[in-house]
Amino acid sequence: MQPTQKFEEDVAFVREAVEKRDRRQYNSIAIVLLWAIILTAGYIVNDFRPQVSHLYWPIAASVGFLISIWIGVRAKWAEGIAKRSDRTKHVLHWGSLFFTTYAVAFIALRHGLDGWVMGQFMTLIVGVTWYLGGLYLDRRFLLPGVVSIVSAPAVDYLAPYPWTMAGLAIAASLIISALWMKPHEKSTV
Amino acid sequence: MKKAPSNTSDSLAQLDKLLEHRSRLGACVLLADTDAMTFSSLKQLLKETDGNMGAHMRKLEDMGYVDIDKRFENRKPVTWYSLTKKGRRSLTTHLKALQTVIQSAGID
Repeated sequence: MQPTQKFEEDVAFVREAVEKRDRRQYNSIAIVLLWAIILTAGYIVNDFRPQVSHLYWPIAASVGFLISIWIGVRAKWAEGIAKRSDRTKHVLHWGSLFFTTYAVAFIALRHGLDGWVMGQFMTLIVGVTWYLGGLYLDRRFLLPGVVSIVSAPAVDYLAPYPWTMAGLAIAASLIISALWMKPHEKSTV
Repeated sequence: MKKAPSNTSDSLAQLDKLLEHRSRLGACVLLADTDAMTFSSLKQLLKETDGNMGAHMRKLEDMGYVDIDKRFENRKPVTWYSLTKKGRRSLTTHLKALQTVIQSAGID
């Protein structure tokens, strides 16, 4: 074998190992299931117990965010790969969603915005953050992002339980994406 | 640090003997863009046996190319490897030389 041929084969071997590692994106649906449950339960609360929505959402979203970080970090350690840049990117992206929703809630409460409209804004913000996350971090968030963005104005036209119907549609899109879509071939994660 | 190679014979001279084995080269490349990786993930990705991978990593460690961090996770010993500055410098020089050799041979 010519030395250059050996080098070429070695480079191909290394490239394959790197691609295999990059494809090993976190594939568990634990986080997705968690959010499918939190969102469905929350939207049901919006329809049937709207008076406790303002308590449910801040608590459920905060607990969900912390549990998601815990699941994500544990999964990465179990994978045997520690990459600080990825961790930072994910925490900053999803953290921005967390703080934006609090900012919107603050503005809405300060200006006496109707709970229904606030719910629509929240759904829209979640949808846009998922959609962007789908474009740049993990494409499995694209479909739930689109469904969530569409759901925000659609609740005005859905009946008889608009929030429950929207919540079920969003939860279904999350689960469908997690089960049937593959992560990016060459992920940045 | 070695200077950048200018032609094929220079490039061949710039190649690092330690990184000429594909598994050691692969381990350094995999570690280059992560903070650390475990022994078992490296072994799995590079399709090596425990014994062979251990021997390769020991050589890299002896030359100061990788650092080791042994921990217990869920009561099991886990060995984490990270690339040292020396390892990163050597890998960069080796890859540049390899690129020159492959380009001069007309292989894409």
